Parts: sequence; C-alpha cells; structure tokens
Amino acid sequence: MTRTPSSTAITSTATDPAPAAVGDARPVALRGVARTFATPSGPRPVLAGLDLEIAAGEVVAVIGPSGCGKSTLLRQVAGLDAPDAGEVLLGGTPVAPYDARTAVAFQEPRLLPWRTLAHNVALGLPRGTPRTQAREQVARLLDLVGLSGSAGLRPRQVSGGMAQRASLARALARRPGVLLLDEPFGALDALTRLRMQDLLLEVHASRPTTVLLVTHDVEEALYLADRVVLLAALDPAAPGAASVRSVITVPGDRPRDRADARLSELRAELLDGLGVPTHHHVHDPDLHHSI
Amino acid sequence: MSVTVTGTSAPVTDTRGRAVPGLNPFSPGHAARPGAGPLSRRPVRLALGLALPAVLLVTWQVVTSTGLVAPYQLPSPASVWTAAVDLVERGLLGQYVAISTQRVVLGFLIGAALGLAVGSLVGLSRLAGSLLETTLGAVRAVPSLAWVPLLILWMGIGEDSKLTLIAIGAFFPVYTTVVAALRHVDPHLVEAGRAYGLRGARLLGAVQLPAAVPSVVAGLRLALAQSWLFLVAAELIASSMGVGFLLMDSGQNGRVDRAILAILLLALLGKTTDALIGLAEKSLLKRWA
Repeated sequence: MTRTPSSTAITSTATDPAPAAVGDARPVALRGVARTFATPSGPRPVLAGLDLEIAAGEVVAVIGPSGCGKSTLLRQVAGLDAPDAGEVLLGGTPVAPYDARTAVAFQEPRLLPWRTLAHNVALGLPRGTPRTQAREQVARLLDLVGLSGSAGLRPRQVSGGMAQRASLARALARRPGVLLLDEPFGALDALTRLRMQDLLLEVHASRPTTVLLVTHDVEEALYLADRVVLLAALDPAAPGAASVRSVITVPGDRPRDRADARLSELRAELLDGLGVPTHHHVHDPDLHHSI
Repeated sequence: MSVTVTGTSAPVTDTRGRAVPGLNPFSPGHAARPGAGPLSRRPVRLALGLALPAVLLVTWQVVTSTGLVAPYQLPSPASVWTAAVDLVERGLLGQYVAISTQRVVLGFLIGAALGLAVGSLVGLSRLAGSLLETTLGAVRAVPSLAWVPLLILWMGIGEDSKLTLIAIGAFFPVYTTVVAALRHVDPHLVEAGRAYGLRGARLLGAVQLPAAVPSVVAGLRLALAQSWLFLVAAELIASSMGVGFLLMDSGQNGRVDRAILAILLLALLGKTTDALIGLAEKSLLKRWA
C-alpha cells in the first residue's frame, strides 16, 4: 500500500452516496475477499484472503498466471459477482450489484451487433442523459478513441481494434469512478495494442479516474500502471486460491520509456514471480520475453 | 452504356461512377471472384425457379389433351381456368380468397402475438418456464384436427372457432423459437447489458429481443405457413365460404376442376404471403448479418 485514499474522497462519499458523485475517481478497498466456485468435481477456491487498497485516480495492474482469479477479482469490484467472504468498498461504501460507479471494458468488445458503434457507445451513458447532450458526448468519445469516421458502422464491419476502442468509449461514457479493464487489449495485434495503451494513458491524463487493469502482459502492466499487483496462490492449505503475492510500485512518470532499464529489472522480477524463467542478464534491455 | 476510360490504373466506370465489371479485370467487381457465376444473378435464379412449374404445366396440358388421363380424373388446364372465370363471374372466388386471407392474417397475428408474449415469459423466467413448459409441450402435441370438434362445440361454426384454430397453429412455431432463442442469447451480451445498467424490460428490449430477432423471424415465417395449414383444417370441416370450403364442396360434388383450382389457389396464396414475409425478413436482417 503505497498510497492512502485521499481523505476528501472518503468524506464526500460518506456524506453523499448519491449517484451525482459518479464521475469522481473512487478509491477501492478489498478486504479479506474470498470466492469459491462450485464445480462438478467439488468446490474450487479462486480467491482467498485478498486485501488490496487502491487510491482514487490510481492505475493498478493485476497480473498473474492464467486462471489465477484475475478476472474474478475484477468482477468483484464491478459488482458482476459477489465475494463469499470479505468486503469490497468503493469510496467507502460497499459495491452494489452491477455498480453504477464502475464501468467494465471486457476482454471481448461485447458490442451489440445490431447497433452502430455510436449507439453502442451511447449505451454506456447514464440513464436520462438528455438527447442532445448524449449525441455530443458520444461524438466526443468517438473522437477521443479515433472512431469519428466509423460512428455509423456496425461492429461486424470494423476491425477487432476498432471494436475494442468502441468498447473503451462505451465504458468511458459512464464517467466511471472506477474503470475496470479485463485484458482489454489481449486479443489485439501487437501494434494496435501499443496504440491502445497510449490511448488509455491519454484518456487517463485528461480525466484521471481510478483504473484497475487485469492483464497477462507484464510489459503492459509496467508501461501503464502506478503499481503492479502480482496474484498467486499463497496458502498451501487451499491450492489454487489466489491472493496478493506482491505489489510493485513502478518508478517514473507516464508516458514511460518502454526500454527503461529500471522497467526491465522489474519485468524480470515479475516474470520470476509468475514462474517464467527469464534468463535475464542485468542491464540487458534487448531481451524481450513473452508469456 | 457510356463508359469513361480515364487511364490505365483507374477503374473503368460508367456514367454513375460504378466500376464496369468486364473492363476492370483486377477490380472486385470482376466476375472471376469466388462465388460469382450465372447463379449469383437474380433474374437467372428467378427463371430457374419458374422452370419446373412451366414444365409441369406443359406436361399437364399434354397428358390431358392426348387423352392419356381421363378428364374426370384430371381436367385440362383450360377447364380449370374456365372454372375460375365462372367462379369470378359469380363473385365467389374473390370472396373466398378474401375471407380465407382474412382468417389467416387475423389468426396469425393473434397467435404470433401470444406466442411472442408467452415465449418471452417462458424463455426469460425460470419460474414461468417450470410452470408452463410441460403443459404447453403437451398441448403442442395435439394434432390440429383434434381441436376442431371441441372448438365448434364451444364457439360454434362462426369465425371465432376458425380464428382460434389458426391462432393455435401460429402460436407454437413462434412460441418454441422465441423460447429457444431467448435461452441462447449470448450470456456475454446480457452481462454487458446488465453491467451498463439495463434491467428487466429495458434489458429485454435492448439486448435479449434484438438478439433473438433472426430466429424469431424464422419462427414467424413458419407460423404463417402453419396458419394456412390450419385454415384448411378449419374450413374443410365447418364453413360456408373460403378456399377450404371450395375444396371440400368440390370434392363432394365431384368437381375436380374446382378442387384443382382450390389447391392452386392455396399454393399461390401461401407462396405470396411467404414471399412478403421473406422480403420483410431480408430488410430486417440486414442489420444483423
């Protein structure tokens, strides 16, 4: 825990939990969160005793091996799922089912195929947004993600990268207190992924919301996040149940130099934590590893 | 056709700026692309579709005019035509076609609307599904003709019993497709809808029903065909007008020409309404494909 949530954010939400405050960056607190799924072969614990504090406006990346519960963790914060034990707080109040203070960009774009990109983005707007204002906001968001020229196209008519940008715009349309990104760039080609990462940084710089980013890409985590959380199974009594293994504070201001030597040190450390042999030689930024 | 040849690399276009297929060997409009061929052209397909009916008509004419088949078994096309003209002159044919079409359209609309409503309920609510599915499945298993005596006893031989029978016929294809379609809506889309604050009727209207539209339209088309089926069942047994009545009446009086006319009419009417709904389907599904 390198930061404490700003006291103003807590007092403002404690006195005014009304949705009028949606749009302010929210701190997130997970305390003792546990989640077990029932499977045909018996209960499968996924998260256990997970504690994590995220300051308002902070960008936190969660990494961990495949199937370790990263997405489950994110779903707890979004209110798409509820923990079996522990609590999840947004700005000091418990997260509600499908919490309106959060917005999720899923791993797949999940756009409605029969709607144009503009209408898909409009789906993210808070209910009751006046029509003219809605049109303006959608146009602004499409412009932000570089889709102004494709507003009238339907998801099947555009590339995966464009669909994912529309999905991001839809999430931003909600003016979320916490933006939740579930491997949002995972399915994109390498170049588009780099562009999307810069786009996310631009968006965050223009409107600093709290961002929780789940990724399997160590480079991406180090490039985007203030802190990187490594999830792993810690308790030998509950194999498979992940908890926070370590938290790394990433040095340097964004946008960062992707070839920064300090980052490659951290990359080696994180990959090591993920159980991937890195064959890392100190101060050799030319080495790149993929998981 | 006046064409503009602007240069070697620019596509050759006609006066409206469209690429001229034959003059642009490397443009996407060129006929050599996969899937292209005479069968991709609409008039060709239409002509092929009409070829078999034409052959049948010629065969019909030949076997009747050569005396291969006796006229009391199969009258010539000309005498069926005469029977049609005769019925038109008496003002009966128009009336029969109109009343049958009216019954089908009304019965179809009632049945389809109910099928959509009950299907949505059963498809979305587990409680409604558990309560209704078994019973409706059993009702569905009852053959259409089995309803006729009961409906006549309950409602008489007027329009009500006929509309009810047709509505039953139209209900089930819509009901079953709606239930299945709603249960198979991509759960990812539904979750995304919920995550963006949609619930209940809003979620149904914005995500679930639109996602089910392609299969629902297919169900509606099936229901319309079924409506014509049930119409004949209703009119064969108790009616004083309509195409089904014409069929039954001709059968009892040995008027093979009129019976054949009635069957041709049913084929024509059924195909026409199906084509109309097919057109609607096509324009609707442009957004989904």
